[in-house]
Amino acid sequence: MSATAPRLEIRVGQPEPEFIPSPGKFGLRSQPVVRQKVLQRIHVEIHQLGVRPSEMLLGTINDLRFRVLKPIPVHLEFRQDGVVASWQEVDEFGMGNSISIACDDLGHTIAELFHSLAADESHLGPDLEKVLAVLKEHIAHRP
Amino acid sequence: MILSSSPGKRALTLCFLAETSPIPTLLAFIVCDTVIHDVGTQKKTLVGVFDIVHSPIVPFVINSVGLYAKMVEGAGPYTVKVRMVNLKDESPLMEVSANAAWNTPEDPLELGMNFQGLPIPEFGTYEFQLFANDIYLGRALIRARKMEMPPAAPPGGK
Repeated sequence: MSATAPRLEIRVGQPEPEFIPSPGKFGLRSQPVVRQKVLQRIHVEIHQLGVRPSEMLLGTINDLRFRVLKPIPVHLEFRQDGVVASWQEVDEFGMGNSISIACDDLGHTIAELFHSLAADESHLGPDLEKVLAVLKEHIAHRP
Repeated sequence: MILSSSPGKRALTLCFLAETSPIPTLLAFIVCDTVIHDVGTQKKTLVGVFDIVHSPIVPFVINSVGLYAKMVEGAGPYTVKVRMVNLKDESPLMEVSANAAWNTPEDPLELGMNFQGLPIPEFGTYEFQLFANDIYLGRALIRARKMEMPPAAPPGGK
């Protein structure tokens, strides 16, 4: 990183609070603080800056009715008028001014597709059955 | 950076989970001035929650930025990554990652990060993106706006 890079404050190793005994003027007895949990020591890395990605793994579809079980592989395409995020396996896409907004749009599309296919599950043709199977592999309704 | 999850009393339950860590659900991702972690109570205090920062000029530096994230439905080892991008062209400004062990699946994982001297090269919208094991979970936005100064009073005027 360059000299102007932001500094990350690491608080993992902060010292334990120091117990200060009270003067006991009014007969109060000091009570030490008990730490019930221990902070985990973690390893932090600051990376060199990369380029904007052309692929990413989506772990949310912005719909709390669903949980993502398996990351959704998203292909990103940058155009003059915005970003297109597509999931090629189910042939769906979302658009937006940024990667995140395009992924949000794709998430809404996936949720709607899941609902519509699941509602007609018994009447689906082989192609749509396959699409629903892929969707069920990646996302699930929350109980 | 602060990462906390209860120590693994029930760590054996991890054996029932899949080989790879499940994808966590992001409940909150908040930008503030500072995240304070109280060691005694394990509580986090978010000081000065904001999403707009004003400056008369660019480039400028935000002296103190704290990021707080709360995730649920995870278990096992994760590499948590935060990436800051300029939404004008998705150009990355900063990327930080940390390894965390989610020992108790029933408990949430909280993440607190404090940055000092975050550079803002131009006015516009910036995004903090959160990833777990390189899987995108969510984002938080801040907007850098020009501070409009009031017009100077004419000499001798009221």
